[in-house]
Amino acid sequence: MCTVKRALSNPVASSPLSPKDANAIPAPPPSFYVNDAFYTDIVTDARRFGHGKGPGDPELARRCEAFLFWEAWLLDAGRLEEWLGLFTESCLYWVPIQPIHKDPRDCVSVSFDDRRRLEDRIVWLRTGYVHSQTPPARTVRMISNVQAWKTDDERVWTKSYFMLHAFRHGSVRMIAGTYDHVLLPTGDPFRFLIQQKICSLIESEGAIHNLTLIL
Amino acid sequence: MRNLDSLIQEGRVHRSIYVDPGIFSDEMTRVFGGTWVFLGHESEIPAPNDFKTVKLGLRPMILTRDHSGEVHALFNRCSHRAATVCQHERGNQKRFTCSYHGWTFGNDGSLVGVPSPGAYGAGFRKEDRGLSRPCRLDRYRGFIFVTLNAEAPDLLEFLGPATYYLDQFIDRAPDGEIDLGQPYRMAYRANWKLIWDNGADGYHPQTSHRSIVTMTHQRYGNQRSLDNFGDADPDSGPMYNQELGYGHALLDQRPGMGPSLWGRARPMPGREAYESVLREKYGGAAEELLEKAPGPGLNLTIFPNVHLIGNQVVVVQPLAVDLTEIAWYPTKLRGAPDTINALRMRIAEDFPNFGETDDFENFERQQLGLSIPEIEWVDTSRGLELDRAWYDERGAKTTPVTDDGPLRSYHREWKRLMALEVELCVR
Repeated sequence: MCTVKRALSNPVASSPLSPKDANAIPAPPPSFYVNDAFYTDIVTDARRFGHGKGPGDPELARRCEAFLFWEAWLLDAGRLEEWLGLFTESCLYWVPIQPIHKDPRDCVSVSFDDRRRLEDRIVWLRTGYVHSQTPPARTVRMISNVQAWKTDDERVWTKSYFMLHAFRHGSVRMIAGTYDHVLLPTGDPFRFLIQQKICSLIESEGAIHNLTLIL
Repeated sequence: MRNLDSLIQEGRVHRSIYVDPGIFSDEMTRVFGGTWVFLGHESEIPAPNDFKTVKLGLRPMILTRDHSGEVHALFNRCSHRAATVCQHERGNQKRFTCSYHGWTFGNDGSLVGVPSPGAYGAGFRKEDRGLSRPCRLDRYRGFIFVTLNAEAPDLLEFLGPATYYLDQFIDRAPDGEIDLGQPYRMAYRANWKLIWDNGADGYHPQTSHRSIVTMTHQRYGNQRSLDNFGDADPDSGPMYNQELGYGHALLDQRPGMGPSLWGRARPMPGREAYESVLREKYGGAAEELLEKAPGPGLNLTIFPNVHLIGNQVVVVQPLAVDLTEIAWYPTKLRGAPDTINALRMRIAEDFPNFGETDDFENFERQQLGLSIPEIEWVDTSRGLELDRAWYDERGAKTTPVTDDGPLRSYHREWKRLMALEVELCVR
């Protein structure tokens, strides 16, 4: 009995986007934190750390790597609510278009999600009516080249490479890019809270096909 | 010569217009050559020596502004052995040098340098060897169009009543000008005309966009964006679509949208932060400014390659018979507060993420269905038998929003262009 149940609940084998309890995501919060100071900070930070800052701290990178692997697994497994739980209440999920990050107040991004829109995205994926993910893609995310630096204020900046393979409608598609994570330490050395996740696609300026997956 | 009358009939069209590579090849020459085609907006090349590369059908082009400020649309083709002379999507440079033999052209198209020209003899004239260009270029309020058809109507006649709505789109800017930003380019694996069939179709949102409507209801209740298509009987609502001539069309959502665009917009990142800043700074006048942030609710399509959707200028770029690029250019309102323009960027990221992707999936499903050779026809008959049309004060044929009238009208224009007996010319 137990074996059968475990086999059926293998997350990669099941549909990652099956509808969830509507109450799994709380009521939408207001968005006061995406203000001018917020924009200024993310652009300043992206310029300081996003473009590299010399080899990082390998010991720190190893701890971050374990966390990033866990995060990737939650997405591949369709455990989107748990994945959301990794983020702070004033988080950012950003998929920019320009390879050198410009001020998002001046330009459009593929996605620029605050906490509320990130929740919208998960609720949307769970509606059962997202044709572009019907049937849903089966995915694996591979992460490598993890570097990590401590910022002045005890946060951690990590940069890593990712390769996302997605199987849908009979063919496999590849999406490659870099992740920049701004992480807040917790009491547990291998667990962090994600303040920002910036996904820079190598094809961000090209014509992108069906980018409805969370990266 | 294929029989176009048999392909485009009143109420149905033949599958081959979507799947036949021969027809696609002809379209890229005749449609994207025989009529005015949008190449770019002046705000994309604002400074002297700015350029962007673009396509006219499949023809590679460079859109430049020379040192004196004049705009040129040049074929990206060396006059010597045809190699492209510009490899970048955009930039700022005075000269374009061919990487093959080094012929060099000014950004006004003139040939300015040829290595070792002596061997061409005395008859060689640099003046005759500049970069070629379409025979006609014209502009409307910053929108740059070209055509290879010397006999095409003037741009203003071509645009016709579409200028009335284009003006409304632009005049939301306090300074009466808009600025286009770098686009989000999306691709779908289906024919370029499927987005044209969809452009003024008020029949599809209820089903195609059920995901975004459901999410919105769940999170934000009713009376939000797209709810105007959710009536039990969308046929009898106040929204309408129009045929504007030369294949252009309008889908006017405004009669169904209620009093406040800002009030019904799905909340975007930073909404509350910027709303409070604006109210503090502008008091009662903030209301009017906030109304400029969301899309105006008019979907205008200018055949063959421009859609205005929300605040975006959306450019349709066919790449192959079953592959299309859709570039979503965000717009800023010149003279509006930075906060309003920042909100417009965040609003511009809403529909391409949560709505357009479902349209594209449906287009790809259509392309798959169209691959069946034995089932030949696609229905375009909605509203045809009832003939519920009326004419507005500009003479535009107007029908309920779910009517296929605009679709049939662009198919007629497509047929006219495909049959056009005219020599396309460059100079």
